[in-house]
Amino acid sequence: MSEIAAPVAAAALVDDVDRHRLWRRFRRSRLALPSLIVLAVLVVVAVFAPLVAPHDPNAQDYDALLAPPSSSHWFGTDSIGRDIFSRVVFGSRASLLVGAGAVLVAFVGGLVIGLAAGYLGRWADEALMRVMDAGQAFPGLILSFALTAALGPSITTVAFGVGIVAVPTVARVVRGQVLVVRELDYVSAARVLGLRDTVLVVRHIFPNVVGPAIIQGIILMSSAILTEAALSFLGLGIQPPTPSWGALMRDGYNSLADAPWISMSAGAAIFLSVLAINFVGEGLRESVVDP
Amino acid sequence: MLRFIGRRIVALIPVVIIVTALSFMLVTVMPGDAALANSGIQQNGVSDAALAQARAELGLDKPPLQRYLSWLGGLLHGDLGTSFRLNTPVSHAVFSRLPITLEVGLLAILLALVIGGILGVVMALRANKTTDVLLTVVSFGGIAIPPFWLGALLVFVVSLTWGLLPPSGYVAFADDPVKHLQLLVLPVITVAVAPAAILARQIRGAVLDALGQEYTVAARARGANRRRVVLHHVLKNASVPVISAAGLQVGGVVGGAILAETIFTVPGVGLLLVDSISGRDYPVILGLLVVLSSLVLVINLITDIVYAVVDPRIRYE
Repeated sequence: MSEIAAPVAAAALVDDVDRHRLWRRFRRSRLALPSLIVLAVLVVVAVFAPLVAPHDPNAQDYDALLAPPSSSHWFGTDSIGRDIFSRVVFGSRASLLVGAGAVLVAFVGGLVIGLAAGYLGRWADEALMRVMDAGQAFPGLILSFALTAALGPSITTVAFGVGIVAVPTVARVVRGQVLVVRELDYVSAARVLGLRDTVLVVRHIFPNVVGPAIIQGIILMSSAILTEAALSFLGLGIQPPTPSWGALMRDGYNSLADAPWISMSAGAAIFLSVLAINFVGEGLRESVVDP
Repeated sequence: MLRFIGRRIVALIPVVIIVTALSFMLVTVMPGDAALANSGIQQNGVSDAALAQARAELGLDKPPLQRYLSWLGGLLHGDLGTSFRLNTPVSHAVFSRLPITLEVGLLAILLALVIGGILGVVMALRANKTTDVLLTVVSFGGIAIPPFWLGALLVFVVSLTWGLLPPSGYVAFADDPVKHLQLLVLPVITVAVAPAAILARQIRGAVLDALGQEYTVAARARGANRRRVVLHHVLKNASVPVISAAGLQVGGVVGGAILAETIFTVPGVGLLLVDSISGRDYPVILGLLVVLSSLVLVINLITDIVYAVVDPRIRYE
């Protein structure tokens, strides 16, 4: 085993140098770092929502129904007097949880299927990729609708329903990368050394495909947040009274003429988070691809 | 060329069969008792015998595989079953509304190509200058904006504040062509923004790529002026990859159309899907899943064929 440990340690060293270079390039891209800060703030707000929010998100203030933004209600109130700012703050939890959960589902599913298809090849590759083709034939939003309808609306099921739609995309990226990596000399060398398939895939192929899959995953997170919001907007996603940005949009749309601030606050929250995630993903992609 | 088309169609058959199987599985595991939901009877006041009879009438007492095969047999004859909720054939429910969605989708793709094309070319010709950076931020914004929020903003500004266009609704073209088009303006913009932004970024890449090619340099070296080189050499070559990029947007456009139809109450398949999911109308959900994914597959096939016609190297891969 020691003959194999040495190159692995060397590879780890190279990784470290790469990581520094990656970080330097990432900082250079004008929008990536500010976006990363926006995301960090968002995560902190979601985690410490009860401390950040000035009101209970479900508390009703009967003296302020559909009140415009003011010093006591920064983003105004809705038709039953709930504080919109507090609901936006608490809503970030649902969006981020669904986003992260969906990415996890897409990532794990895509990685397993992509590795299996790329490494096993032949009929396994053919069968798995035809199923992926079929999965990609469904317009994503429609498949998420149907999956959520089948599984029932909760944060877990919505994350699953949104994530599984992205499995084919990740699987395709991973499979393509495996096809390249498996022909490289060091993989052939490891094979000649008599390593078992599972060890070969986990120790030698996996580390080389995980990078592109992570970048893909970050970009998927933004579309997962958009899809969750769309589901909740249509009343098919996270159910009231749990605050979510999509559900806020739905409330806001119903009183658009009287209280445009509801719709504007929730929409801006979704827009800014998705924008920040996309800039971070793009910054990462550029730092990896550019020389 | 015919062999290429034939090969692609044959390759599509297993995919379509998997699509039908996945759709059927999905609808089969949906919760709630369709017999209860759709015979209009309440759970409390119904005897087991009546429930069993309702199930038998809907064919729900048979094992799933048998139901799948008989449904598949019907599908081959163009029979998608009967809607629980509307009591009409599913094919009628779907295909009477599909043209409306197709109109919105087609107009949106065209608008996206025009906007994305102009932005993409401008960005590429001004690469890394201020204009390019600003438009890059704008295009990222177009990808990040939730379509239903955009729809709400448009209604608020254009309809409620300025009173320029009616906020929502639908009128058939035959009844009132002007009103028909007026009502489609906001939904089409709502659907078009995200694909326009994505296409702009891809077209920027394609034009930049063509600008760096030897034929472009050679044309410039021969003394052709910049405008002529861009129009005749760069744009012509850059338009090839745009074909498949536009084809890939179809799924997203269908998704966007569903949201837009809900916001603007346009009675296309999107509104039908949302109503069918809330009303547990499983045959219609199933029919929509199969018809819409087949539509995506067919459009992808057409895109591939057009691509192969334009770029013959593809055929030999």
